[in-house]
Amino acid sequence: MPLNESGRKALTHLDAALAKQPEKDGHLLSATLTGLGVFRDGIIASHRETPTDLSRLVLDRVNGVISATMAVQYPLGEVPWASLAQARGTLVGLLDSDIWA
Amino acid sequence: MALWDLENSDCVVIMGSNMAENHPIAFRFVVEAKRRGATVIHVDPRFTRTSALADVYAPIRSGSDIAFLGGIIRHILDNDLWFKEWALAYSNIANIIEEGYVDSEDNDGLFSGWDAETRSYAEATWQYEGKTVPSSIAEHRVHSHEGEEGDYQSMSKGPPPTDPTLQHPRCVYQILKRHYAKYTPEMVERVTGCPQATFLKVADALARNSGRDRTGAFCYAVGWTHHSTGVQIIRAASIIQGLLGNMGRPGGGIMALRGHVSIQGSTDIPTLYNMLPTYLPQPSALHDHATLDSYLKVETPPTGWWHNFPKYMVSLLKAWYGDTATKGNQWGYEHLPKLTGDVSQQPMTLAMADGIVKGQFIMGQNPLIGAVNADLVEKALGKLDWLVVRDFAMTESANWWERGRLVAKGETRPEAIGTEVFFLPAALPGEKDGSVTNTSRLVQWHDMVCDAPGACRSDLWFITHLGLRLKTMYAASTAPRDAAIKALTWDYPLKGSREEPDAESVLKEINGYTVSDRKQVAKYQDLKDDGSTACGGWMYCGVFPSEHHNVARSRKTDTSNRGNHPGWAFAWPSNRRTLYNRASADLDGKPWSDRKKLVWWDEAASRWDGDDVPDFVETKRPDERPVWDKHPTGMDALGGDRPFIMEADGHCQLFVPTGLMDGPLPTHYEPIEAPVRNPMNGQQHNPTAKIWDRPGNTLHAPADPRFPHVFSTYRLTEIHCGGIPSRVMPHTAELQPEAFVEVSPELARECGITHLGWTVISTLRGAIEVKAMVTERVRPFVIDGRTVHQVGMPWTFGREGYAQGAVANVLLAITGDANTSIHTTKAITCAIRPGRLDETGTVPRHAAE
Repeated sequence: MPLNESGRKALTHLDAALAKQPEKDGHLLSATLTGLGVFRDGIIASHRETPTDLSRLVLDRVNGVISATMAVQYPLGEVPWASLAQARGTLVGLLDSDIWA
Repeated sequence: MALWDLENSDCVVIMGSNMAENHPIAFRFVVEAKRRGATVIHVDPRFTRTSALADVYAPIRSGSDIAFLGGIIRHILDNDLWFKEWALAYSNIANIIEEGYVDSEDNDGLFSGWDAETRSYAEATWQYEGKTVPSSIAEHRVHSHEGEEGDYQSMSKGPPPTDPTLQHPRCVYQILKRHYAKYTPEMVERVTGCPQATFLKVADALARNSGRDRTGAFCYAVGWTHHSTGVQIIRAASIIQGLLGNMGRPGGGIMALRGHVSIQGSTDIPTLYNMLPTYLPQPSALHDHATLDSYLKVETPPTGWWHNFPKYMVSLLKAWYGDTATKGNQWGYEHLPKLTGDVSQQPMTLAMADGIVKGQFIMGQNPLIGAVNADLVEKALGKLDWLVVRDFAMTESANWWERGRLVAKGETRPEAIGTEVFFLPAALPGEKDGSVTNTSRLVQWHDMVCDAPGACRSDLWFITHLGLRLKTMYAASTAPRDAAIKALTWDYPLKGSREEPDAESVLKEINGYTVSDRKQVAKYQDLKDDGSTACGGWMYCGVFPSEHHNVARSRKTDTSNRGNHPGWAFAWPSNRRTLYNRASADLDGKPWSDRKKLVWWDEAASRWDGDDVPDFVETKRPDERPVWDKHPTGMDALGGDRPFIMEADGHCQLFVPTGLMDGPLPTHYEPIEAPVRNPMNGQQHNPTAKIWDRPGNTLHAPADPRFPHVFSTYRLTEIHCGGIPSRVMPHTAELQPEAFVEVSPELARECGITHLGWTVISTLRGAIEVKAMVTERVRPFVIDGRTVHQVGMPWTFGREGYAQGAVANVLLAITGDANTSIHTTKAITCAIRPGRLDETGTVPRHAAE
């Protein structure tokens, strides 16, 4: 399976979760996190095999998306939807880039 | 209050605790109070040894505490039983609240500011009229945004408006009267199941034993905190004590009985995710905390003692980052992780199950017994890459991969689990130096008696050497993400062939020192915000005031007969035994009575004096008042008549304008799972409670006929905490050899359960089998016109050790109090039937249907 496929799956769940806001759908967010976790683990494995500045940068970005999703799933006070929408942009940018070729 | 101060109480109400069995050492002070004539009251769903030793036993249904306490508040107000001079002077009872405030009693259970979409409150209408009130810095403070909204400096521009006649419809007194008007004795009985006559006995005993000459105390434990309304239950008690003047005075107060010897210490020097040591707020990425300046600007209350917050924060950063912390780099502030969400134990368990969290250390915990929804926890542990467990005996949390419930049920196999588990042997308390901080904020030192056997090492040894290895690993890194580890001061001297860290050097760092000469700081008043002092926890300042003086070692007997034991160890802060003790004196600084004197103003010496270290500015006269024209800050904004110095206005907060997620006043909501609809308002449960609905964590609907009974868990004297320390000891294990569920004779007859016969208890999270103890210690309740049965069992059993039995927490769900994220263990619903689980030990019939 291409590395970014799990990221695409996570994006599908993320879009569904964002479409439901302000209702917080715990199942969709959980599915998003599971997909992002698999995506991240693949990047980690690739980075450990062949470490590059780019793979490290991608890993940092995906970790950022995970943090933003966790912040909505497990908020402290108000739910930071705007940060999650911003994180979605980061994820789309990553998935649409040519680094997966 | 100090534990021993309970013996000065004239009335002790124990509620949310089986104190005699679970805090037997502390309970001796209750026994002593009784010997001196105090009335002892136990309010609890179950008749226990605590009840047996009480003068009054009041049974209530689990989770109905606010209805009971709200009834007491109403009784005090309606019968004019409050200590008027004290409460008018020292509480915010006369303060006027914003015009837009709408009480939950006028809005079907919801306060003004409710946002149904985000399921959260805005606090603007809860404020004192025309003010933005900073919340006291405490655990969970970063939830609120008051420093970024409104006029945050307003409290230094003049006093909040008040009506000392208490006639203004929006003064706190009138709001309280309206809010609790519905909490009549009849309603208390209808909601809690406690007979009206018994309830009135409790309310009268409390009121009768309060005032100038008498004081009363509440004692609680996790029977209050482990609810979706846990914080508000404690708040309700604080309103009672604030009305009765039972704060800061001998024998008065609210005793939080912590669950383990150093739970208090692990909150002070925290293992919690959202606090820095001694209650400084962890910065958040979602607040204006990007720089130290902005963080201090929005988190420093302009008035009250917490205005000193920058001194404590900068000193902490200097302690952690040493020479690398300079004014130019914000004293290393950027090294601190910034919160993005709730990363407490329960969300992290769910994040493990989702594959996000990949590793975990477990030290001093046994979550497969102590954490709720044990099967979900076990599944989550199976998703980790690695797990490190440190303990002195094998625990369920270390060998679940081989002997866990899921393996036993055939739901997984050891070879299918990818988690690499490391079990590391730990030293026992007598095998290491260190301190424990108990429920009285008392820091007590203990010395090592003998070396731990073999490879067993102290937790301090493990953490210190782990830190050293991490620093070595990252020494050559230039990545910003590794800078915090590189900058961390980690220079504790190592002793002997085992290279055991010097524990006293850690306590010395926590106490603090001056940077230029590394001399110990004697008191927190000497800490600075200019980088000249370093301090690992400002409240502990004074515990190690000079190079070779560890005050926590002190063991001087109190021969004064004053009962404060000032020479015994160190109570933070300043070796003070009773917080807010300025309240033990009247407006003129004289004790309210000779019988209840503690501190007083010494006019001749122009200072506060007494039998305890005064909790006040030592030279601030009782008649001193703020000069508002000068926009005073800090303690200059509090008069000599404001004992509650950690609050922005120095008042006891009967009404809380800022800082709570679920409203300014306690309101009865049903537990998240309840056998009845809420009889008091349209909100079934706390609308802000944390609920994570997901497969494996499904909740029961209100009054679900499949789960008609209330289920509660508790501890045993003989089987301590997560169970392992006592289950592996033959002499304690044989005293409580196996698990049991307590069932009333009425429920036993109804279900066909026999004494010592097997039962199956089930919820949508799981099912367990356990033998029944049919006993009249638990009684059926009549709630809102129908009979409700309650069952209860100890949560401390497991499969390891000599005393084995079902894990009660399998039945519980992962949910959280809105303010603390603490789970609910005291009031869920369940089904119970006679018999045993089927061969696979899986879900019982009704749940599968």
